[in-house]
Amino acid sequence: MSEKGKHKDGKRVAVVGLMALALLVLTATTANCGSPVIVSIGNIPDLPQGTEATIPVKITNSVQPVSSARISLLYDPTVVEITKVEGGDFDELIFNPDGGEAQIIGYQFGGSLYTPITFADVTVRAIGNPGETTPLNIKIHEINMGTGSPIYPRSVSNGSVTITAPPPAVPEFNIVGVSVLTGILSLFLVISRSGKREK
Amino acid sequence: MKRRMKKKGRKIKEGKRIKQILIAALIAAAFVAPAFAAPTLTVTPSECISGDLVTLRGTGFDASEIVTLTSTCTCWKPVIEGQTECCLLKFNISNKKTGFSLVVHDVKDNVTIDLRKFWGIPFWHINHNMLGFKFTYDPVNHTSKVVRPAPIPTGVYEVIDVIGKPIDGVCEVEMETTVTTEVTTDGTGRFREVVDTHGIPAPKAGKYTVKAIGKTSGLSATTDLRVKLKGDVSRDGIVGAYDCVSIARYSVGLPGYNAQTLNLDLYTADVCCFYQGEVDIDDARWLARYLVGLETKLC
Repeated sequence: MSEKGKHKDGKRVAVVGLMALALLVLTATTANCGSPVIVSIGNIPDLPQGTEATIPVKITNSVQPVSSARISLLYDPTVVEITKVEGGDFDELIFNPDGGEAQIIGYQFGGSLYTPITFADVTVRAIGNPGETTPLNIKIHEINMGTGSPIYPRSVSNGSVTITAPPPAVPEFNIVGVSVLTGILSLFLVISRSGKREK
Repeated sequence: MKRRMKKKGRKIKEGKRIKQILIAALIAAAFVAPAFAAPTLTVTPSECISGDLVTLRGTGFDASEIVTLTSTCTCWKPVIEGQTECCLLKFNISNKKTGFSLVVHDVKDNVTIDLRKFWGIPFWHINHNMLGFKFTYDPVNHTSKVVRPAPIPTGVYEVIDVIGKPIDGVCEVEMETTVTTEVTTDGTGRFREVVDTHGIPAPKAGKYTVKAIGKTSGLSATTDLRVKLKGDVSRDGIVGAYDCVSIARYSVGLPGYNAQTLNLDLYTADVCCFYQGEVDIDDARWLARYLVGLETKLC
């Protein structure tokens, strides 16, 4: 490379560097650098096929009290189904378990809530095959302060569910069957004893 | 006899002349009148739902004149957990010659603005003179004023949120928002401006008064724009979870949640299709069900 070309490249690098630095300074000085409010859901690495488990959706790390939130949980409806959404700390919780996206809204009648907040307890049933996994992805539609202002910045921590083989079948204890069998055996025992006595 | 006839003839001639003068004057007035016609301002449609496009048309201003369009809205906001706020969501500024000012009464000198232009861009926390915003405070009347003169970068502002801490003993705070836009008339003194009402909340009285003032002529005209949005009880320009909170808090009688601070008219707040006629907790629940897709309409 010629001396002139090297000089040009050097200049270009310097300009790009300066621009990046300026952008960094601008962002750092004017943006709200507060840590984000986090909405999270955990993982279930081993949910046996056909069984259910409950996972809480949490809201944490908000400086401002929370009056309401609307959140969707996106999942693969061929792997799990959401059977229940209940509990949580909000005065009212309403959900729509529409296949693949469960929309949940929670809101307060009275004072707002301080984090950590349990937004909802979500119960999932494993309907897929062993080895299949579905992400549990959180989409935040809105999280509001007590005055209605949206809370920013926001962050999510997604979860997942992996299906394992169902537990081995255990024969059920049949009280009627056992009673009938015991009765028959007793009858045989009585008959055979009475036969012996007659002899 | 001849004299009498002459006199009569003269009188008839004079009468005719007066008639001619009057007709000429009327014709002249008819031609001249448009030049002195009072300026007009119309908005089409005059009643809209937040998010609609409306067209402002003005006539009767000077040719190629700059006309200032001003819209002022006064609202009251509740004081909750020691603070009050005025929030505009998805506010669309289509004309860069737009400026706005906000006057907040009964607050301490601590008004701040949170601003988010669009996703992926940092959330601006404006608490002093920066990004073109100018803050002033009147300590005698406890009034804070924030001015952002034109030009403003155009586009949809996801959030414009004004937050203040009120003085002691106040449970409702008065806020006055003024949005100003400049347009230029054409060669005949007319202008046309399309306004996106996204994020413009339905005002308490149901209408905004828009005023057009010619910069050089001083001519002015006003018109009313009615903005409504079913379900926007909290008056932030969108329908969301906080409207459920507002109805619920109003239902349980939480201080600050009343007809002064909320849109509690039956059109806006009585959204439950089963129980009509009053605003109650069923409306909050219906709205929540609507927001998660369990209901398809607000009544």
